[in-house]
Amino acid sequence: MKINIFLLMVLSLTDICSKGQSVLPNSKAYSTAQPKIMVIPFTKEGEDIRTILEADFNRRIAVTKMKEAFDNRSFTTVDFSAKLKSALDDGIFISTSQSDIKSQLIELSGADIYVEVEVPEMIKTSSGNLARLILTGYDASTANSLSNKVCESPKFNTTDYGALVNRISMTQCFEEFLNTMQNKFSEVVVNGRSIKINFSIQQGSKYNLSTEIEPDGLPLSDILEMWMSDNSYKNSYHVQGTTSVRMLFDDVKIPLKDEADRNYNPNKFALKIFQFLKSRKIDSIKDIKNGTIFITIK
Amino acid sequence: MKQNKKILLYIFFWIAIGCSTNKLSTLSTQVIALPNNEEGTILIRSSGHGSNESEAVKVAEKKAFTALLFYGLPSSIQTTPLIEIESHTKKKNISFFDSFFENNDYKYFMVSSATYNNSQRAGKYIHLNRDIKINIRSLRYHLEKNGIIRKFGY
Repeated sequence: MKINIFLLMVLSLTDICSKGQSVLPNSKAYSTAQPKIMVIPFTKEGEDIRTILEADFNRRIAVTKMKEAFDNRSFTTVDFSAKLKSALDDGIFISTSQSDIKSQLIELSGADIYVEVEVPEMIKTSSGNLARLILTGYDASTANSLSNKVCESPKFNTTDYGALVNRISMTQCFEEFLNTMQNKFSEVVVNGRSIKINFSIQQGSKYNLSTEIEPDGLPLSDILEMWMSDNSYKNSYHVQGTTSVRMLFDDVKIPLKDEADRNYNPNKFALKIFQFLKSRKIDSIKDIKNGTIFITIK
Repeated sequence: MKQNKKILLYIFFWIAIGCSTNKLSTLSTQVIALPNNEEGTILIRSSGHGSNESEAVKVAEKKAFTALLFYGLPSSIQTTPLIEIESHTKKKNISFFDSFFENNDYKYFMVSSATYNNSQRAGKYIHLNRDIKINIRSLRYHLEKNGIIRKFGY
């Protein structure tokens, strides 16, 4: 009898343990969602970005070398040419101005970060010619600069600009650029990623940002700022400006992971804002584009 | 009297020489990056000392890797450390670093290692400068694969 009770206890303990283990998969570490990066050529005023890569072999080399550097770090980038081609095929571009096409392309690519590669004119000296590259990495949402680098090729007695661009040291130029970017990513891991939040009031709404909201009787803009102070990661946010119909938070930090170690993104943060406004009986519409949250109060 | 002064000067002279000789034997903390055009590699000159040449070589090589991993090298492609927080990472990955430094795993990432000029004997120590070329791309990949550093990205 005693043995039976003992066996029963052991079995129930085993059951508890196995149940405990079956919970484990939910608490496993999820791989962190990575930013989408796109490498684009720099275009001057009046240059047509649609034809620039096809026509300019040197810029194609420069863009490809930058992408190669990302590949060397086992990082997959969004292909600019492929995106451009599919966007053109789909007739997505509304405007014909090249600057609009560039911003539209960044927007529709869903890239979080874009790297602009500028290929200035060949530098001619008596001791040989050299090529120069200017690399600039931006956060697509906040326009925060992530990495900058000017690279030069060694001097050669050639007028073949493509050959000079190809001579630019992969290690010296691109690795340093990526190292700086990786340092910024480390800051993001610790301090959270930046997003932009745009509050606006729909036409004909009974609210504006000065409307006093119950139960505290505080203006809506102050309520929003207090909420942001409580919910931004490590209380890190910045208000660019407030009017009666618009309030812009140009840099709000959100974590990369939530409490359950699952990936956190602007969509989830937008939902939190939506739920908060709902709790205050304020109806709103939320839109998310390239790391920017647009909240329109109805 | 003059004779005594001469003797004192003579003693001071030899003490000074002796001190400088001792300093030479401890002058072993230099690790600098050298210009290098080979893709994916970094060239480091590192000094080491030991009771024999092979010990001095090992000290120089380990020092080069330590500088690259934990401190970074000015005027190189790796000005910042490959590993962000030294103490924390070392504590968390004791077996990795034991194997890397003590079992000579670091040698897999050495493209070349050669003594620059001749080694010098300073007292009972051998002092030498070593030019070490490291496959940094492969080293970074190894650190990423073992979870010592993050892959590129968040």
